[in-house]
Amino acid sequence: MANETVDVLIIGAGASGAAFAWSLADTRMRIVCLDQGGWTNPATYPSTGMDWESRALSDMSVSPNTRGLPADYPVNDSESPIKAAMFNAVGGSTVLYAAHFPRLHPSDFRTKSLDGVGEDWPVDYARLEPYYAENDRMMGVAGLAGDPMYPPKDVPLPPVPLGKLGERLARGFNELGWHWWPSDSAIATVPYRGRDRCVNLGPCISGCAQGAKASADITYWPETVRKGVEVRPGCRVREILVREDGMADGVVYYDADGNECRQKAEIVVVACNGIGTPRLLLNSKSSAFPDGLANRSGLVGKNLMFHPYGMCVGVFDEPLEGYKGPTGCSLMSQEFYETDPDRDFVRGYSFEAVRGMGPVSTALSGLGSGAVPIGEGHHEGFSQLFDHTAALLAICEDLAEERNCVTLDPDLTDSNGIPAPKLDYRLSENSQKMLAHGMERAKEALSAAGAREFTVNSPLNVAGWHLMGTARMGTDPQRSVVNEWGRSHDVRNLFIIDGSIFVTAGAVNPTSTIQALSLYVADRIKQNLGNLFD
Amino acid sequence: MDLSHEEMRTLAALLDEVIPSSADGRMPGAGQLGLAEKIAREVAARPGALDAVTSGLHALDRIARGEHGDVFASLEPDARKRVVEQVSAADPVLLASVAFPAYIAYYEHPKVLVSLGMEARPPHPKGYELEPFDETLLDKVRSRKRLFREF
Repeated sequence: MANETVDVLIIGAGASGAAFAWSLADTRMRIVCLDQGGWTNPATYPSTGMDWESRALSDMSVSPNTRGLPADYPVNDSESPIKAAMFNAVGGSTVLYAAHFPRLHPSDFRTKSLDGVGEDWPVDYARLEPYYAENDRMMGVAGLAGDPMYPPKDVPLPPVPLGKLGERLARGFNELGWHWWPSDSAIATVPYRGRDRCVNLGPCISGCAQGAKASADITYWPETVRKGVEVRPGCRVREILVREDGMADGVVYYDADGNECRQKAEIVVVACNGIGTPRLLLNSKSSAFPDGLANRSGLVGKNLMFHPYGMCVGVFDEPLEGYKGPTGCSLMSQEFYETDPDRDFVRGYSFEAVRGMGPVSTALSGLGSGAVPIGEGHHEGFSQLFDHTAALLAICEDLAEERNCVTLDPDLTDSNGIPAPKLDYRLSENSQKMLAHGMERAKEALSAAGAREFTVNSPLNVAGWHLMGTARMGTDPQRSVVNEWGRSHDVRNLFIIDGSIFVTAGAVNPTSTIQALSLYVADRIKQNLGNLFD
Repeated sequence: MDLSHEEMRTLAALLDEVIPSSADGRMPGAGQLGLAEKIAREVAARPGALDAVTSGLHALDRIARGEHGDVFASLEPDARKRVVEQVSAADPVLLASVAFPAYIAYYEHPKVLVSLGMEARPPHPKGYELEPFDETLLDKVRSRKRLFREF
């Protein structure tokens, strides 16, 4: 089945695809966005039921391999200590993210010049700042202006309450004289642009039934659809086609009923993030691109960056009310963010405070560690942990290495028979040293806050949320996949706008930067419509 | 394949060994909450788990009859505990297979939540109130110089 040619075809309706479509809709071009997932219904999210914790381990797990929903594709992550986390739906992984929304720092764009590692980006913080700000307004970011770790910036909404737990930790950081600041959180703390305010449900990472968390399906998309952009849910793209002149021609995709369809387009935009994007490009082989589309550099799929996470849990004597409030958003410390020559690693990490666990998570975590045993001692073990823990996550900057990559699995396929991605990833020595440093400093901070016992889980293997670097941007076609405004070096009507174009990872959650970049690319396209393919 | 009536009775008794009632009586035992059917369904959904659990339940009754002359569910608590220890020492799969779904079902149960001092409800729609934080906590951080790296 073939459709009429459209002006712009976006593949992926997640964080980047939504922001890009919203911006480009101003042009009144005919824009279609395909997504393999559908619209989710917040009324069905786990926090509406008594089984809210166990559903986060099954149908609303962050792991596509655990969920195995029709919209999901399998990921072979057996050769990676960090497992892939993502969600496939309109809104993408923002449906399940924690909504932590920090920006990259100015230094993150210049690691080669400053520290002799990684590469410099072809854009910098100042160039992206207006797009960060616009995105903060669209998503509705809560926080507090004046953080000395950042150049001055406005924050649209008041901060998420720290709660008893956050204030405890803040006092600990103060005692040590370390930096901390209320988290920048994409959470409506007051009614905002049609969204109700956060009521501190807790489990943001299995979907926000309140609609306060800024997932792209409820922020960008409603307005974008009203502007005339068409979203086609349940449509999984198999490959991007190319014309004889080497330009992208459109895509072949399977609709929700499994029918093979074709969609021609003047401009093709890939927004499938750090695993999905290289998977699609590598699956798009042709005589002009035998190694995969836009891959003359050989770098598609290479330089996969996660953020290696380490978690240190502290046990406190007094109740902390940790199950109240957004799980992942309370405060962040960036005391160890920048390179310090006195340490045995380069670059650095952030600490994110994590609120306490609910009863089921407490019990299961104690079952695994032995702290909540079967039989005798069960209730004593549980009561020592439940509502008495707080955790610090060290989110470490990952340095790009070509050996860390996404390739196509020779055997594994999705339900449409499309080859699935395989991850090959090793933790670098630098990351291991950084994690070790982070866990020791986490113990210090938790101890200063009053914790008496500690459990360390590092690297945190379920924490493959941040997928970056596998089609990176740059000015040199030999060393990068897209140029300084997201256009493929090899295919002039093909754009990539997601986390795969990151050059470095920084040590903060990437969604804010992913969306700022996609708004920036959309703006550059709008400014260059007359000579876009030159 | 479903568990038989006898097997379900043994499973319910085993649940009280997995999560017993608390010494002060505040927390109920898992076997008192009618969770056996739910846990049997969870076990049956995991490939291979049902056979292992059924075999373990049979072992509990076999040893109970052999050493105490009655089925596992009819034994006194001390005797049950010893039987469970024997079966687990020979084959830890039974407890491992039952404990995971038992912990989930127990801590999702309204009676347990109330016993913990919580409300027996899901988080949404009521949520929780949290006070705005005291911004004077930030005075020390604010007093520091600009911390981001300039170049």
